[in-house]
Amino acid sequence: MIKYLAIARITFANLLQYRWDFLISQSRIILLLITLYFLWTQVFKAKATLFNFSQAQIITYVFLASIVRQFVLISATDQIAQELQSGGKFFSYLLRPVGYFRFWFTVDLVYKITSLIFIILITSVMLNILNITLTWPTEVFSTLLFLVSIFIASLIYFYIGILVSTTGFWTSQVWGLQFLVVLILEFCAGSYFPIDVLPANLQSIIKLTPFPYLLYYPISIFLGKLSLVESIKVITIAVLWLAAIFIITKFIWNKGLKVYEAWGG
Amino acid sequence: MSIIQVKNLTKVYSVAQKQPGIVGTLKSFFHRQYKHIRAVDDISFKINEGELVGFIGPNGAGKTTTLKILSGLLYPTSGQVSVDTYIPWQRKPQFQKEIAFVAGQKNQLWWDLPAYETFLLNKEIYEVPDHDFKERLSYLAKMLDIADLLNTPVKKLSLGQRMKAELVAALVHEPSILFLDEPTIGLDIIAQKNMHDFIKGYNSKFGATIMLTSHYMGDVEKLCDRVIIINKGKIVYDGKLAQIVDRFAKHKVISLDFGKKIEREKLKDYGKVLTFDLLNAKIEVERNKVADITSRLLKDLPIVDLSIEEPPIEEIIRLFFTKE
Amino acid sequence: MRFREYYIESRLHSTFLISGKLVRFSFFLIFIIALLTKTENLAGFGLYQTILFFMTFNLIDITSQFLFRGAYSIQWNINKGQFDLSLTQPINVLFRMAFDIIDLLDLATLLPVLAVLGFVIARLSSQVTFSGFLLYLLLCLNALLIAMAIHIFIISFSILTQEISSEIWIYRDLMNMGRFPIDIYSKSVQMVLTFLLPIAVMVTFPTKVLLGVLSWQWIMLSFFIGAIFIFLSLKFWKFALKNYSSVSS
Repeated sequence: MIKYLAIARITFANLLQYRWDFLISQSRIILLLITLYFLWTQVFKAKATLFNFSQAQIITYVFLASIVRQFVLISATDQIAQELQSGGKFFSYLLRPVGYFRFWFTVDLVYKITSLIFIILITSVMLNILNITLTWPTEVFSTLLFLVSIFIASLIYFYIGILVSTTGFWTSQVWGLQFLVVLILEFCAGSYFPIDVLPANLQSIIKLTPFPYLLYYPISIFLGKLSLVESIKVITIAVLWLAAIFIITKFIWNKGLKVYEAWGG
Repeated sequence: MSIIQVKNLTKVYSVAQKQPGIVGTLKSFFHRQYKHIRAVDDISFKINEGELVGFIGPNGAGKTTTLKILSGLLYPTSGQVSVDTYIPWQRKPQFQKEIAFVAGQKNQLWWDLPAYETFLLNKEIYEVPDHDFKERLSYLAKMLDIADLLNTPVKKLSLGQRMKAELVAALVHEPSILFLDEPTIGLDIIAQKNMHDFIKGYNSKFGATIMLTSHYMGDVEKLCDRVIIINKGKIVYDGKLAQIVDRFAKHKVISLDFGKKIEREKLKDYGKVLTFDLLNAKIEVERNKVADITSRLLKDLPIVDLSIEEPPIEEIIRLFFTKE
Repeated sequence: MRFREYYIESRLHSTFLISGKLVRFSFFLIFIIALLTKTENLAGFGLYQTILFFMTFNLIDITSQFLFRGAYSIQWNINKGQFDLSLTQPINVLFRMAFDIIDLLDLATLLPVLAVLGFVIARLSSQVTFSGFLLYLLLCLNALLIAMAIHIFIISFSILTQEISSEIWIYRDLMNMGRFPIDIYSKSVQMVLTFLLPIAVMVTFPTKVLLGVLSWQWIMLSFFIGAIFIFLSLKFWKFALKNYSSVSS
């Protein structure tokens, strides 16, 4: 335990070295948030409900998506690919009595918590300026299951991040793949708009992937769009996805490690 | 009792052969051709506790590969290895706490942070008690003369300072076995000497077993009684450094300063003239005749200074490999 | 001019990058179509008009990225001493820094944009006049000039501060606000996007001219803003260069 506290401490110290870059990169989400807020406000001038969303619900969705993505979709695992390529640093983990995944999960948590605090501060200011009140869940179970689903979503994203970075065992050019995966993932997760907006057939395809379980379903639970039974069903599927992605990641990782150990970097 | 035992160790790398062009890439995708390189070829040796062994040989001889296997970073193709009774590549935490692998270009220090931060991290990772940590750190910092650099961000350190900090980070858990890969690479003469003193000191103070590779003979000459010479993956010599010198250096070099000019011809009777420029000269003499020739030289010629030198060890090793 | 070697080095890698850009493009297009099919109206604009805004945004965004990608590697250039080297060479440094890297990938993403753009303009042909089209092209050129000015500002700023520049990303995010006509934003946001950071002048105004809904005063003002931006950016560039030379010597 103390081991991982020490990792968290040094990660945070390192983050502080880059505080301005970090803050700016975190602030980038604000301009998107402003765009989406005004877009939906404009759209709802003519209609009362759209895609089964009221204006209050969609505005809550937009803000909540920004907040949740700053926790769920924030990860340091993309750095693993660079580390695998540069060799030396990765070796130093193999030499030390520390779990590599556990190490990175600790680093991830520090990133996630820092950016969550920051985005909550920013959005509170924005909500005040724009004079918006968010719709809160009426049922206690919605809040609780929302938190559970976010925890699972974070783990899913953590292993997806490692899975993509694992290609660093074989090729030095990982960031093209990272770029593509992040883009597809962001849209399918519903971080720009709820996927209810999309054509029905596209929706059903997206719902077959693990991505909507990252943002879309957790927020739907929060907004009370899913009943208790439906929420539990969604969370169960999310857990199954987590298990599947964990197994795949572990398998490919071990394969990569074999190559690495056979080669020595 | 041998702390490191290596028996019939072989490591073969398979390199995928790529043909140029798109067609070649496709071809190699479906039917990959491999070239097999025997980096380490059936080597065996034992190292006793507390020994300081130099592992030398030309580039690509298999030195680093062997060290990587011994420290658990690589799987061998075949053979048995035991380091402190552990099998390295299983990477058991107890094993990891006993060893350190330090390589010049490998860095575990956090670039943007002071080195001290990494030391603290390693303290927790290796579960070193506070008291031991403080004691070791002050000893290491003092020996390596980096006490005032502990709070400087690593990126602002010079190469030599960074190497020292890497070494401290690798030794925070006081390993009993050290694998040093090119510990003096890129260091200036003074830093090299400091590093030599440190390695020697660490070896004698903690009784640590140390294996170091170097392509720089100075390291080996200063530090190691025993050397293992490896070439093309095979051990070609394992024994006392002094013995190779005896075996391969049949000559010594006598260096002379004269009080007044002499003629070159006069020196020819004593040995092979290597250099000559009126007031000083170097001549090569057979080992067993050195004493005799020295006394004759002093008697016959107007000599103001005379010294006897061993040929440089690089020269001996070169001779050694040309004999192979 | 040199091509971005590592792009071409790995075809798989390039494929990923192109696909990523196309995915983003397609998703937004689908989103706009789905939205406008339901509402039929966004701040007074219909489906094809809204798509036209989005396509013009893409046209300007991709073309300016294509032309000024050098600005993204300015930090790298300074660090590696490449910048000092170009200062000693008999070629306009600014020209070199801006046009240094030609990214062929951006061209690949431009093709679908041009195709959809042509299709949408054809659908709207009843609203489009020849002079409107001509002015559209001129305002697009004006937009590229403003983009160049902004990139010069960013490069100069990097030279002055010698720090890793996040400005370029802020600019990119601001630019993204132009995906939709700026009429959706509140008046104060519109003001900022017109005069301070003229994203509206770059992407919204050309479209409006094409649709014949921009008054001649705004057209004149657009060219005026373009000229001012270029003028100021060159001034700033000279200042930065003077400062840099004195620092490095």
